Amino acid sequence: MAGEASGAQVAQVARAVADVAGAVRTIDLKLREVGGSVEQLQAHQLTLDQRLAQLATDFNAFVQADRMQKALQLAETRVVKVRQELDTRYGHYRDVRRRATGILQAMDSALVTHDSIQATTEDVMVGTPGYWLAPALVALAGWVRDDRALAERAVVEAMRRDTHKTALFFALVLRRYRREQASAIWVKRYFSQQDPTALDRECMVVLDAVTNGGFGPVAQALTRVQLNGWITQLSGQAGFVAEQRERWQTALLNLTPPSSKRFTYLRKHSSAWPQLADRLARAELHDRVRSHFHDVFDGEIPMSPRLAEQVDAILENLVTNFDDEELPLRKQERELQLIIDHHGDRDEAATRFAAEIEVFEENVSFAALLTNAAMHREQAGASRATQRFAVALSHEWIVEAYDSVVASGRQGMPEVVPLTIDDWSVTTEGGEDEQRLLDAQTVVYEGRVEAARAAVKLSTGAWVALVAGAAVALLGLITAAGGSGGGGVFMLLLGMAGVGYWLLERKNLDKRRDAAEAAVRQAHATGAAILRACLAEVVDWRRAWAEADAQAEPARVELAAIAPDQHARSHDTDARGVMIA
Amino acid sequence: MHMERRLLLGGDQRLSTTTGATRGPAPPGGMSRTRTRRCTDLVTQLDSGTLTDAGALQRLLNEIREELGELGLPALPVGLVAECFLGPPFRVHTIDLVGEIVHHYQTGETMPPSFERARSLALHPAYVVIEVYADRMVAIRSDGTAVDV
Repeated sequence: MAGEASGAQVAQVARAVADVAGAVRTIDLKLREVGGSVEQLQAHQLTLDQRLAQLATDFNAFVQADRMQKALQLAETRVVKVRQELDTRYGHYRDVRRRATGILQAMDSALVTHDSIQATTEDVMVGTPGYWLAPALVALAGWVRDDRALAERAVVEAMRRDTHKTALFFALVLRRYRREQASAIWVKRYFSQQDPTALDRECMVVLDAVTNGGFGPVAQALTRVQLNGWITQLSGQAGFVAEQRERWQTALLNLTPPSSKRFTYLRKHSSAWPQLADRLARAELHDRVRSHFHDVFDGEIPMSPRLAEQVDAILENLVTNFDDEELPLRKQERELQLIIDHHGDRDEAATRFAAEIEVFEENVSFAALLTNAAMHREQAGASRATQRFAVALSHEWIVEAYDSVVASGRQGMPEVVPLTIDDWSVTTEGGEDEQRLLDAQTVVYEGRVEAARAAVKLSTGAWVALVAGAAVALLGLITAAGGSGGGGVFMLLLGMAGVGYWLLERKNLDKRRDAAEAAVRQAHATGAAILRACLAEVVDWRRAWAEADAQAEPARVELAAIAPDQHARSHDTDARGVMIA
Repeated sequence: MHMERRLLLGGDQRLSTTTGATRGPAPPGGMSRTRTRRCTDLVTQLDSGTLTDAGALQRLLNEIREELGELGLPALPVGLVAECFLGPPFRVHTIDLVGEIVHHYQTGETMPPSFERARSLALHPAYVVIEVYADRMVAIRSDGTAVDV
């Protein structure tokens, strides 16, 4: 009886233990489900993060492209309006300008009566109030008719409206008719009112005249002395050399090309990429500098054998390009055109315009005038010959500035290139140590494999099932041995189920560890491919930089070889002799 | 060297860039544009193995200061940086003219900030030495031309 009671109690306990084991198994299964779900969630989260990052990148790129497109469309619309406004407000000046050369050519051909010339000049005088060229043309007509009083009154009026342009206009007109002494007097008058630190923009015409035969021998000699004096005066000022170097550095740096679109792996995996991109762009500058100055001096610049034609071209430049009232609109026009030229990139356009800003100032120093002619010929209203002359006059400053640009471009070269691939950071010098780095990467990933496998463990439930199952099985044996065969067998089976569950989990453990290892090895393979690509790009980058940098010395040699006395021209052989002597 | 230019009067208008160029007072407002060969040769003695004692180093530093002093520079550099030819792992060396210290640096070894910015220039074959001043640097080309950086 006592044995039967004890057996029943044991069976009861065994059933309770079995219930607990069952509950633990259920909890363990649920926990594993939850764990699995969490892992899936983490994987999805990672994927989501990556997609979000990609979306942000794509969105920013879209916004940037949209912004540029809108800026481009706006610039195209506004530039038309600015040009219309220029035409509306100053278009009537075009007629007056045409008449200036028209009158001179009519005088040459003697096909137009003096009265007709007089009438047309009176017409423009009435039609363009305030414009300096109108009374200048009246003075010209008076001169042709030998009406001294009229000519003098008109000259005074023209000088009142614009002293400097009037002086240059008559200097050129008189040169056209080989009145050299009179021409020289007007040139002297012009120079007497000029400050080399704040010249009027039309002083560019003086350089044009020197380089294109617009001045006769007397005026040429006078101009030579004046230009020499200006340079001496400016060179003696404190800080002038440094200012010139800075001005030319800015002008040269404006030729820097945009950053390379190549080297996509370095862009993504190297924190030094902005520095690498910048240094390469600075090295690629040298070829552009060489090309720019090569183009300046490339080819012959034809000079008309007829003095009148040559002077007319300079006159046309004087009357067309240097009216200060138009300056604000011309400045707007240029800003908008730069935005169009750079496909809506306002920042790039602003950088380029900043380099040209001195072209649009009413007064510039002589040194800035030379820079404008050399680097922004069309905007500054300089002829090709003047551009050459300006470069030749400035070549020592250019070489000094170029030396500084080259040196500053070679500064800050990364001695080693850092790379980060899949949270693994490494550095390389020239990208040629591939095997060493691959081996180092392998060591890292082997460590990750071990860690990944070690992180996969048997769950607590499995261990509980093992312990509980073993205990129940033992109890079952004891019970069966005690005479309660049915209960004992039941408990034994339960216990074996618990142990069997543990064994099953143990077998799955290896599969899970293998899966974790496979994931790490896949990441290793991908990482190794990325490492090889990065190293190849480091080699390519260093080679590209060296090739581009090697262009610095040939560019310097060409710049240093420029001689100014070869670039001033005249229609008079005597004058050339004076200049070279 | 004077910065006046004789524009159209003829004569040699080009820079004087040959080594051994005439010493003279610095132009107004400017740095001398050339260095003599002796200047740059002194720096290369640091790698020659002839500096066997502190006295030899001291004499070398004095000669460098004297050579730079004769150029009439507005101020002497605080130090010089040049490529080191002792061989790997050393890449550059610095000469601190104030503290009279010479230091050889390996690849990746950081120099004091005032010298570090001269590192890649010193390693470039176009320059024999970089003069480091308090507020700027001057790179000396192999032809003796001094370049403001």
